[in-house]
Amino acid sequence: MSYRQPTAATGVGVFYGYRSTAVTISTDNTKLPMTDASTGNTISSGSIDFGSSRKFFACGEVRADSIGDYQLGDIKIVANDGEVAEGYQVRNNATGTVCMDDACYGTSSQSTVSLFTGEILGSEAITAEANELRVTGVFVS
Amino acid sequence: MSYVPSLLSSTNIRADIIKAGTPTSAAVNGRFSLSGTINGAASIVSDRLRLTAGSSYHLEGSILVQQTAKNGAITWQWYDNTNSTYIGSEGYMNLATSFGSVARVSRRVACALVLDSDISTSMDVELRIKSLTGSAWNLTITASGISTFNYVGYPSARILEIPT
Repeated sequence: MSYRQPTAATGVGVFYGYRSTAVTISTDNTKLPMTDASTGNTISSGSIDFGSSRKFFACGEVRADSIGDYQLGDIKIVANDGEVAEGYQVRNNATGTVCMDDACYGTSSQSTVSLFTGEILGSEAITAEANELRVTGVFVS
Repeated sequence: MSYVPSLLSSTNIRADIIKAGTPTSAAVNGRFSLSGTINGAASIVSDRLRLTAGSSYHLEGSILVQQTAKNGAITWQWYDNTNSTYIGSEGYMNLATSFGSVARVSRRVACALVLDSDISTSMDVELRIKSLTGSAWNLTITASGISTFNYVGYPSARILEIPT
């Protein structure tokens, strides 16, 4: 795990991408496709597409709406040149011994940003489902 | 309760993500070891962040813990080491029972807003364990996360710097 710092800069503003319909989380390191993006940006193959490289800070979150959908695993932010931040544990199960924040954060200087699954506890993978995806961020210098 | 109005800035904010690793001690007042490269005005000195005047800073600290005994809770918070006071809101985790039945659930992150006007020349802040109950805590961060788990993510501290 490393913490990559951004290296290029343009613009001022906030961006977001989201998905409001359920998506199954079943395999490690798989894109969780978003469907909508903030004005000025587009969704390209499930990723937020800025149209050009931008230096950004982003936060990714998922929401599950029933116990059966909860998983024990993590999510991560991925730009078009690869992973920019390993995610955080999305959900602590009822008897878990490990606990952490439930969002992931990343910075990069690329033209797209996506939300991916990270490592999922195997026994949880067959039932996990995200009912909502959110990536919010800000362009930085 | 009051809400501080948003800060206006004509320039981009700066963002940095650094590691909030193994604390100096797994006990109250232990400080999570901050490390990494910072592009903004802040710097790391003895595991602490040194914030310099000329900017305001929004700080967040997320930690990763394991407690095999499942009989305790932890709070952590940003601590102003220059002025010897806790700042911002604390993070909280309770592993004593399931999250569905504990008395308190909140966002699992410590946050603080340090205004430029709060800083004389510089301010040293640290991410500190404020309270810890129960036994068998493991706060040692490994290359993959904690213990042998690789599906629990990785802890970090975030610095959003707003130039004045």
